[in-house]
Amino acid sequence: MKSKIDLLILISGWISVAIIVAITFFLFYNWFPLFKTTNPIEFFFGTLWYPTAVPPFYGILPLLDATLWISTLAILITFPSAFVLAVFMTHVVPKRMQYILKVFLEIFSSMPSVILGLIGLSIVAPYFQNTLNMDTGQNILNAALMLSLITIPMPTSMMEDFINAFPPEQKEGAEALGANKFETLTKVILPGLKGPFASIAMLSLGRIFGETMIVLMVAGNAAIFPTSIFQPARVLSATIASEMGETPVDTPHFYALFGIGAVLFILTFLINVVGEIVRIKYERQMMKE
Amino acid sequence: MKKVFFVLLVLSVLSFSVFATTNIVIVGSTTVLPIAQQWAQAYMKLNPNVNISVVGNGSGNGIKALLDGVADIADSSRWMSDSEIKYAISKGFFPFPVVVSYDAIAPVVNANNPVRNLSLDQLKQIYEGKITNWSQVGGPDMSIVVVTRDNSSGTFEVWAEKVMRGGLVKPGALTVASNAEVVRAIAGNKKAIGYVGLGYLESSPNISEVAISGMKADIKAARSGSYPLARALFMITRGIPSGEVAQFVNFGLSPVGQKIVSEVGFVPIYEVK
Repeated sequence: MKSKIDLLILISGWISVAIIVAITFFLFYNWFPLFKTTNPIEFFFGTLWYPTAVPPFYGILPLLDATLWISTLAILITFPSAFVLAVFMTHVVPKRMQYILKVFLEIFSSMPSVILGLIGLSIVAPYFQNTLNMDTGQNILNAALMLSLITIPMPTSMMEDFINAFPPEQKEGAEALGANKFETLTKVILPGLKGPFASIAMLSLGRIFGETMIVLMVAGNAAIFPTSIFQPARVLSATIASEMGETPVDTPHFYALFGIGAVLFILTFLINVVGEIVRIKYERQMMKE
Repeated sequence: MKKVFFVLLVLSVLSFSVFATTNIVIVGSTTVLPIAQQWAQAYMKLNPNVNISVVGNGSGNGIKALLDGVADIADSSRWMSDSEIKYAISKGFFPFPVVVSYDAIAPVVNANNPVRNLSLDQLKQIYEGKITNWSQVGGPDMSIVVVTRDNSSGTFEVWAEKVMRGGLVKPGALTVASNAEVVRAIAGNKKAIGYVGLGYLESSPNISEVAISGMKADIKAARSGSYPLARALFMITRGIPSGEVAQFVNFGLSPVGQKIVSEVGFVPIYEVK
């Protein structure tokens, strides 16, 4: 009986590996025909994205640039906010309140992103336009804010777990030496958690990178090289979402969209690999000490 | 035993229904999609033995499905291309397009913007980014925020063909995914300009139509072709339609079908009450 279950687990494990490999293969398989008609340099470094113009331009550089802008801004908002929240939950509020907050966080993190997109579109954007007199409220800042709101619960919850699970003997040791709560946090706990925090940052970045709905609704989708956070921008994932539905199959435009998917895949993969390397490096360091 | 009997019963009912129904597969333009869907629903109510499936994935994919024999009817918001017609003839049939309705689009601005009239050339220059301030076209001194549709939509196709005429929409234009989103963007931004289908002009009190050189979008002008931003919408069949497909297309062209056309916001091919 046991061997049957083992076999079942083995089979399903291999099937999921095979599916992932197949998806990857499919992405690249549908991308490479693009290079029959388009120079790879034009694809990666072209500055114009006009897939339906005559002649078409398939340059993804503005999309890459916008993705960097929005993700950078979003992670700059997300990470410190998550950290402050985690410290607030572990060090300021009483234990019972901490539990309630945690439940709220978890509910919030499972909220569909389309709802935040709608809030960004119908509340934040008009506010930016009418009160702050921006040309358009559908811009990088709005997208990054909404992205942060949907992302914050995940890193907060993880950081909180790590701070709570910090070895009590070290904490108590510090306190026994006369350190107060704040000193224990900054001098003992934080240095000890550098590794996990770095990988939490990477995980959050991965989530921000792939999030499509919010950016599609809120960022304005203009394929330009933005010069300020008050300008609209078009990211990789939103381009696939808005154009794939009506693109004729087996045309260069179709291949180019798959190319964007493949680039996105490679980027997210790299982010996760870097996150993992950082984590392992810090873990080794901890072991040595 | 009871179970076996039940399974047999279910199977026999299923097989009966499979033999009795005719399937019509409609694939193509998302612009024509609401018309095809409403027609299909009404037609299936009248003829319960007909099963119609409607898919919206763009005119190009619809025509391709028709030519490959996967679809019975292709919805298209444009005329077939030379290569598509040649491919059809090489497969041994002649594609048969039927005009099912007209579609007109109109430029719109925020209701607080006093500009109510622009020429096609001014529109082109605004969208190309050559005119960037409303004062250049007789409005107040404020920058112009250009709103456009995603470049694979049918509405954008009309705009590109009739207004841009080979020019490129400036990369800084806000790009949104539906008529309703254009309305939302324009209604909330006093500097914005956009374009929507005729059916969406009344959907918000905060948007105003802009006439093109004095001409407003209306049903008669769209039908006669005198309004510059109008086009015909097609359903294309493999050869002259026959059987259930012909019945369906006829239903669509009947007063009942054309009433549905005007209900979903398009221009019927003749006057219906």
